[in-house]
Amino acid sequence: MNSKAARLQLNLYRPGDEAEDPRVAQALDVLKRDAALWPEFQQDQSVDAACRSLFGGLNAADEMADTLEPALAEIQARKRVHRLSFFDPGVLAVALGFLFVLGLGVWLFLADSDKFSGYDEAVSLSAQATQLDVGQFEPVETELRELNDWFAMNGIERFWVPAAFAQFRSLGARVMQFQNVKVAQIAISDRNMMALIFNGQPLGISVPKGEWRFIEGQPYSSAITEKDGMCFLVSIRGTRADVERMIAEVQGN
Amino acid sequence: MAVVWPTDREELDELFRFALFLGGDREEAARVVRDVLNSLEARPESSEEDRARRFCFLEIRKLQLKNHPQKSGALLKPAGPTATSLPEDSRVLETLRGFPEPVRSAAALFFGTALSPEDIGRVLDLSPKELAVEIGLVRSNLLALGATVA
Repeated sequence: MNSKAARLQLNLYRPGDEAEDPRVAQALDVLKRDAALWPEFQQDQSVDAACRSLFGGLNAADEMADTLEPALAEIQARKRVHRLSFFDPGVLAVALGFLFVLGLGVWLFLADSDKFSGYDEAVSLSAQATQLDVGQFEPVETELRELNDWFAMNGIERFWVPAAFAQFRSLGARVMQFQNVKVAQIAISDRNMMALIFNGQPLGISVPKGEWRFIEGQPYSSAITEKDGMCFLVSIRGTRADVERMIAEVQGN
Repeated sequence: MAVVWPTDREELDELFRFALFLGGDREEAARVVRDVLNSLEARPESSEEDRARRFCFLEIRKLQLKNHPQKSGALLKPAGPTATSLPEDSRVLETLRGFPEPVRSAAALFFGTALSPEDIGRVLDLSPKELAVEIGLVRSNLLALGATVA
């Protein structure tokens, strides 16, 4: 750095700057070697000191207590509130954790929403019923709504078929026992469906009125609905999605 | 957003001093500083000390120049003799206040201590060389004033 550059650099010198800025330190080195720079530099420092003192006198002695400190205190108080704002990392992490747990809970609830009172019994009943083949049924070929008398003669006092299934045709029918409850069992020609009609109360099986609940099974999956305590459970070979689709189609018809 | 600067009385004083120098009215200066603090709070700058500091001075200058328009231009090197000391304080202050912008703000910020020369340049959009030249001219004009008084 030459004397001219050092002079310019020293124009902005404030005591202590040499520790912050290596260019200032270099300019001070030049100053030490160039005696011609000293008088002007000293005079500059004298002017600066006077001006700094002058500016220092412009303090906010009166306004500090009335306006400025309360304003700063207010901001600092809000700062504490802001620490609890949603976007602070800590709060955000807790909030995300909470949302995750909540989401998990909702997911588990929804996953479990197909469960209904007596779900396990319905699964067992469905599994037991679908082990039979059509040869084990009495050959009864008629519409499901016509089977009331046939089942009455075979000891089933109450019989009910949802309206959407009333015109489906049966291939065969039989009465099975499940936990001492008589169950009407029908083999249906359409899609090799099998239907069960039974009183759900003794088995503790209950489905919200007018709704369908689904049971994923292998190789059969089932759908169940209820009216006045009488359950109608229908199974087809396939997945739960296949059963849902089938119910949607049947109800659409 | 947390405000990391200013945090104490001395830093508030620096802001007030600058506002008062540019505007000349104490009540207004306090109000301007308060307004700037409130606007700082909502800014992303508030979380970083250097940016918060620059923002405050920049905003104070913007508001005070709006309230008290000042002619802009360059300071000329005095043609006459210069003294070795300054005249009385009131004349120095009056003279500094009469300087064109951005020289006037540069002087106020340079004789304050809140901003480094580099930050002063950033607030006023001056290069280090331009700032150095202006501060040199401020001194020589003040010393010329001293010679006139003497």
